[in-house]
Amino acid sequence: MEPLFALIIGLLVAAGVFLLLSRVIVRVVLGLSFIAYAANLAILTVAGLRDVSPPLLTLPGPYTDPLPQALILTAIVIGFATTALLLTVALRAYQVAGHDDVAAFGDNLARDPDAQDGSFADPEHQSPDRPDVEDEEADPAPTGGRP
Amino acid sequence: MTLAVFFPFLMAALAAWLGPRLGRRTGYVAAAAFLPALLLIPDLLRMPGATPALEVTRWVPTLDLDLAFRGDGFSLLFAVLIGVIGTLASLYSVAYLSDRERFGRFYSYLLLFGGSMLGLVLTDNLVALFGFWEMTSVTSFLLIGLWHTRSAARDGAVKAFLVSALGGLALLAAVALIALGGGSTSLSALDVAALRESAYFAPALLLTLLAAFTKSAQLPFHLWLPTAMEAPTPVSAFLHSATMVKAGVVLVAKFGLLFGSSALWSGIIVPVGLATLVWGSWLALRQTDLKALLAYSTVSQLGLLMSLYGLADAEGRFAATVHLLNHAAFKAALFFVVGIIDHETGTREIPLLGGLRRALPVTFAVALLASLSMAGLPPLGGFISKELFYETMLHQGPLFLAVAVAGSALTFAYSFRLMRVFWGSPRAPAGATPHEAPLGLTVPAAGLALTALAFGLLPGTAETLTRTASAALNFADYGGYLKLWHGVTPALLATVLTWLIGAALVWRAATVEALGRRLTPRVNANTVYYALTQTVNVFSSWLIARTQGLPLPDQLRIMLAAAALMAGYAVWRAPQVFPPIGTPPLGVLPVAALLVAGAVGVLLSRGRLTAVIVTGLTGFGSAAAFLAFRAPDLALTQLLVEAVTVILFLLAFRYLPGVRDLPRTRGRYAFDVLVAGLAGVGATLLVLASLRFQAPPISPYYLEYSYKGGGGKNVVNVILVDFRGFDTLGEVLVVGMVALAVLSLVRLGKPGRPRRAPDDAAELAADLAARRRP
Repeated sequence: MEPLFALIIGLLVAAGVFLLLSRVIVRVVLGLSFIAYAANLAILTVAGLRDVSPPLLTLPGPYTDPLPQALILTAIVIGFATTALLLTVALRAYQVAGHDDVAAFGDNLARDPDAQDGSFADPEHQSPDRPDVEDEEADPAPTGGRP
Repeated sequence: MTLAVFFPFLMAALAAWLGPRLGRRTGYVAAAAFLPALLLIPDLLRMPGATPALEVTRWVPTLDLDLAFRGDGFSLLFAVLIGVIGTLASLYSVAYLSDRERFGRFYSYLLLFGGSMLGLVLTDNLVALFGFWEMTSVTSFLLIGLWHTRSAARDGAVKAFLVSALGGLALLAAVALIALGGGSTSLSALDVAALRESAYFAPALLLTLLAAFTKSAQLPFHLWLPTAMEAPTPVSAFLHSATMVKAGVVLVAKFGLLFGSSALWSGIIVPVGLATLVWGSWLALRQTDLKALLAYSTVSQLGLLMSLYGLADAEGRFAATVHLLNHAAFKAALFFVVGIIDHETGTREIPLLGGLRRALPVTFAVALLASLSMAGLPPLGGFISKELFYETMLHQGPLFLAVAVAGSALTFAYSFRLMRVFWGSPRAPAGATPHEAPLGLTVPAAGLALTALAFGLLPGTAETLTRTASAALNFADYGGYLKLWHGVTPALLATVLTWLIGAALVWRAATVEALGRRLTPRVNANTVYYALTQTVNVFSSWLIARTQGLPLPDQLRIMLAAAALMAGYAVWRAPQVFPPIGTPPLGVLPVAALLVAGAVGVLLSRGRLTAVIVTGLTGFGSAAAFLAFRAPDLALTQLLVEAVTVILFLLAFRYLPGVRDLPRTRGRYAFDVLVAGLAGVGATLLVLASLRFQAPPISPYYLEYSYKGGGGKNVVNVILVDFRGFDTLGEVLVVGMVALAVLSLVRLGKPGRPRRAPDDAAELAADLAARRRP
């Protein structure tokens, strides 16, 4: 049974990698999900798929290996967090760039290597002691379009 | 003592919560946080006779890391000093801060600093010392950068942080070496003799000095302190004159007992301290900004303290401790005065101000007392400690005395330059009508100035306070005592000489200024710092542009191809075994079908909804697989996560355009199919290869001890929350960080107003054009 799952895992990874390389941002996110599914199944498979009891001590033994299950449980949650983060980044990138073509992001999100990073404090001249309070609510919302 | 350290941390949380509710009145809560520190006064007054109390809270005993606080005379003296200045700064800030200040943030940072600083001086554990040291650096960074919309504040904060982080790393190494050499992480239990014998002695000494010099702004690390004046004035008074910058001095004072036997110790500290004294006061004389003047003055006074403690003899430590008290009193008072002037006139530029003594009589009196003390004139405390300083330097040799006189004459001159804003014809920037500041501002300043006066008129008070540290700093056998008139001594003659030179500097101010302009070095610490940071910035931008400049898919192709090469090599080297598939049980086939259907379906799908639903097939397929292979918890979790993921995608689709497959460029399609295919084959081979490992499983331990040790019958759960609890903690942290990142990204985008998802390119273009229009 394990070789069958090895094949399925290979298929899932192939689909994930193919999606990961596509130009549409949502497909990139989905690609990552597929790789995560494959990884979880791989951990389960390499520990052996045996027809015994689940690791619940209320049932009669023998039991399957509980350790891979614990690892997978953590991996599922982390995978979900990654998906959520990537999806939000995708959303944000779309709002900033105005399109969802991953291949074209580099042009308008990358920094100009020759630009100066802000201005420096001049120790000889110091301004009076007042806060410049930024007003988050009042300032105009950053508009998305910057294609 | 433990309470005195931790109470400010608790109150910081409270202040953060109260800030938006109470507004500026949060300052009174903040002042209360220093009460436990002030309650150490009775303990302090029992010194030096009493045995120092040791309070130990076990923390990580296996790492020799305990929260040990030891109340020796010097630590208590400094802790009380922190308590007093902290209370005054909190009260002062109540009247000082603008209405638009974020009080919660300001006071919680201030209290976090207060707690860290108290911990730093009171701790007996070397590791904790390093921790508190770094915490003061971080809170100082936060306070300097409080008004982070200003580039000057950001720059000042980063500069201060980089310089003190350099020192922090040095201290970490020093602490490790001392603990190795001395055989203990407890300062009071160190084997000093063994440390002196060990090979770690010299490196530890040098690293300690680097830490002390960066923190206490000694040459050439003085550059961060003047730009740190971007912080609000109460912060400057508290952190950057009275307490935090003295952390390095405290370190030298305390570690002087370990390292003082070495000639290297005094040989480095005293010249650096004296050079800082002269150069700092020379720079202070040239400033036009009142706060910058005080900043350089602090640099020079720290140099004085350094040189005295660095002598590592009883006389030097006594003189330094007296001056430490005097300096805290007059310098904090002067910062408060500058804050008042800034508050009333809106400027700190000396040329723009004049004749303020009529408008601000109380402030004038405070400033006069404090600056007379700074200049070292009788009958103020500063005079007494300056005499002691001369006396001590005289014992070292005439050259030391000459340098000391030069630095003090410059100090005399800039003290008068500071007072210039009060004399002459009344001048203030247009629109400002200066009038006396509210009591909330003048009372803390006046209290400190009167203390400076009391230290002079009643030398016994300063003497008593200083003597509390005599046992801790080992100067009990120093016989001298404080008084205003010692008779005609060489020190007095030197003082008179100082006044004469100082008066000449004041008299010929124009000449001095012209000389100063001519003497300005082209290269200074600041230009070096900016050259360094600029180089790093330019280099990293260049590196990113050259190595990460490709579009994301191409970047990923390179990464995946590299991974494929490495993994391919491993697969190629591994012996390949292909076990037969056999006949899987019928029940597994639907599961396999679900998994495959999802993967194939998503590649064929066109619409965005279809893609997500088809992905869901694989998700539910793996949940089914978990169920089939005896992992009920996983199946449950996977189902829940799958449901939440679908909801998440649907939410995101509200703002994202459809999943239409943009065509890959020619040539890349084939390449992508190849890479994906290779990755799939590689994954399959990897799983097959892993199946061959026949090492005995480690799980029987968990099965056996799950109930006995963890008290649970669901072994997976017990592993997660008990045996491998730290993994779960890390997982929770990851989820928390992701939640914060998502929250901040979503708030950046302000998707509160639903954005239309344009369906076709024309609509998208029209939408974008509409948004670009102003």
